[in-house]
Amino acid sequence: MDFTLQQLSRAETGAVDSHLGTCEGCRALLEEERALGRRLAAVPRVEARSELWAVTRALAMEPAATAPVRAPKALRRPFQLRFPWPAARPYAAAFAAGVATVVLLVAPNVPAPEAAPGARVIAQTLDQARQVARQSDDPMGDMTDRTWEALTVSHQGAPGS
Amino acid sequence: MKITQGWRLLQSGTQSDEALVERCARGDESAFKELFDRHHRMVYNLAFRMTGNHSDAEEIAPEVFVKVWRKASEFRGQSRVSTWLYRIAANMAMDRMRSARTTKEVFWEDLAPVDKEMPDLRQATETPEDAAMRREDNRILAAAIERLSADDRLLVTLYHLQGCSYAEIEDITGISQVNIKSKLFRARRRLRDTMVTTQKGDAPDDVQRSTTTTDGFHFAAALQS
Repeated sequence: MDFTLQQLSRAETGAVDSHLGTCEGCRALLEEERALGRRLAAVPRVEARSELWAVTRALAMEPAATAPVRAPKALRRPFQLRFPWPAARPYAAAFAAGVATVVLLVAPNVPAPEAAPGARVIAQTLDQARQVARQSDDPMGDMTDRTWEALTVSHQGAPGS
Repeated sequence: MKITQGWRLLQSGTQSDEALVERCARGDESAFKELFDRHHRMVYNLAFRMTGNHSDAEEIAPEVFVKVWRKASEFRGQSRVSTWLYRIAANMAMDRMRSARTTKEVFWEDLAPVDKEMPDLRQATETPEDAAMRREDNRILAAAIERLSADDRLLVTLYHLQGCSYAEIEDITGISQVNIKSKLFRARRRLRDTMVTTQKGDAPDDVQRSTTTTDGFHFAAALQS
């Protein structure tokens, strides 16, 4: 293309010229390049509608869009501050719920929450996970919520509860 | 800016693009209008050729100028204003292409008229048969361009359809000039291959009908005269 646009140095142009004199394949390729370049260059412009300026002006003169309203940092829950990535919160919640499930399955004879500090911690963790999941925009939040409900039922129905 | 351009602007009493952007930064609406008048065709055509339809181009072009109006104070003059505009327009068009979910078709009857400032003089003298042949050629070319990847289409559009130099394209896209040349070469080869296949009648239905959509876009209208 540099050759077709005459952007090569005199020496380079001479070398290409001499090669083209003996190579039919390159001559054909060069002609194809030139022909396609001409066809592309001949593509006409299109015209925008006359209302384009009015639309542009109206949009430009509008007040700039305000950022989504978020609670001040001081009002946010400490747990959220430890998980600054919103997308990660439901996964963290799901992980906590999973840990709790494993604990409940492996140790079905866990004493009632009021009698065991460990169970209280699990319940608090699940509650916290549920709250975080509910506050998240991620669809996982709903799933975690349902997991919580199922866990609550199974835990209440467990022996010793 | 080249000296000859500056001298021409001085003679004609018009301001440079950079001066207009400075005035935009101060909230001068008349400067904004002047900037729009100078560059909206270029921006609109780029958006139209990338997305292949007027409705997207009509959304993208105003957004480009709104961004310029709001960000004028941040323009440092490290590149030309036109390059800045192209960069914004290209990014917006690429974003639009990537986020497209639905198939769009442009009907031949909806094609826009040729730019009045650049009339296609062939139309005045050609016979109906020649016109039909030219339309068919354009249809095949359009379908081939449509099948290029978004990146290749941007390069072909900027270089061949918008007339940007390699240096300008490097500023706009961040791709080195060496890579631009090799990518363009490969894109042209793909174009030729697709066009040859289509002319032989071996192309898939979507190419032959020229209402195909690749990435949800249609490019044919950009090439129709």
